[in-house]
Amino acid sequence: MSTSTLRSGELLRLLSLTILFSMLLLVSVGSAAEYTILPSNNIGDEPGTPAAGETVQEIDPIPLWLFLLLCIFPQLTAAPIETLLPLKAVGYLGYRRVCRENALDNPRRLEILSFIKANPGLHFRELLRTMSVARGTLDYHIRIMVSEGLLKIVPEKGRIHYFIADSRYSIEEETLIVAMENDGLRGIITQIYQNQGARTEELAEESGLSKATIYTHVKHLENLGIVRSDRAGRHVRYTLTNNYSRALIVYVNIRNPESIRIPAEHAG
Amino acid sequence: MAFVLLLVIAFLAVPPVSAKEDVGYTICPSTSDDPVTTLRLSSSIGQGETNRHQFYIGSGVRYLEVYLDWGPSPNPDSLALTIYTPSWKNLGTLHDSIDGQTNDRIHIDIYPDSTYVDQGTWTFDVYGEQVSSRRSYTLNVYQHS
Repeated sequence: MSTSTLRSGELLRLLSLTILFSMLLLVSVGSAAEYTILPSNNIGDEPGTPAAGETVQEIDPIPLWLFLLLCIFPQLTAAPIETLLPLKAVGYLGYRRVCRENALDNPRRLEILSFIKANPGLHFRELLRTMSVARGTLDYHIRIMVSEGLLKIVPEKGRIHYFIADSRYSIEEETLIVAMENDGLRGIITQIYQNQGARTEELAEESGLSKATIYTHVKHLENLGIVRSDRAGRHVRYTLTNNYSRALIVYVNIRNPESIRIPAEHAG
Repeated sequence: MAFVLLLVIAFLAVPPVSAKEDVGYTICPSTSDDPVTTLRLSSSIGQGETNRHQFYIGSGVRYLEVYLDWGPSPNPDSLALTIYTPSWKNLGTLHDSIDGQTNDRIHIDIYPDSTYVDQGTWTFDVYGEQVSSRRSYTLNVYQHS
């Protein structure tokens, strides 16, 4: 392929980009709406309370990238944010590409990684709840760290749980950490640990859950390899498998959850 | 090269934006020439300062609820709030008594004359109208759909 063909290709791409960009700047800023400002219906109530069963959402301030864009192009305030998303990429032109070597140069990303290291197995919503970081920011940094191999993900019951890539935990320990994030599963694991050989009826009675719910949870734990079932006559008895009994001790040492009381000789 | 070219085109295409567009609103002191944009919901402000907050409002929103709270204040501090639509139409400068109560907060609803409020980035300028020392405040915006 000749150099002139390459150059004409580049010029064509540049021209297309320029036209698209110019079209974006021609976004109509016209608005037909007039507005009436009234004292809020919620005066005396909590702000954000639905007045007639409608959906109410508290709005976060705009993200930094949009703020920077609006500083340069204030007329873009009228543009739907969806049309501006491709421009996010333009902001990165001329900047170095994020790779594994420099991914943690970003202090916020390092902070998130350190938090996950200290709190392994948390899923996205928990991270969002416990860290003071915007949803979009958290999502962005986690995506980068996953793609650069700094974080690994463990899917479980429709949620994605995060561990640092060079986690010191064994597969059993990670599986248990993730299972213990689920309130229902945690309760059953704890019960079985304290009452090895427990029957479904006993687990249901102690937990207050139905036998069907207990059965579903226990089957799931069996599939994960955490629980073993043994038939004894008419009854099925459940015990923690040896690997996971050991993993539970590790879990207690890292989380020390109040709901679990491990005998002192085991707690290390 | 491409980025520089695009930037030049963009600058040439930027129309001057002014709050003094012909929309029949009074321009009040709260529209500082040099507002400080903050990306946080809570902030602090001094006498004569203006903090700019911007929120992106999506489609299908029937009305907005705005709650600016700077109380309780031992001093008779007073903040003002100027609101701009995504098309930079100034909806006016609001004071403590706009909601019928003087209680160190402004709590209002914004209703469009059409079905939905304008989609886009809304701008809220908080102005330190009468502030004895730095005054902290929170600004919350809710979209009712």
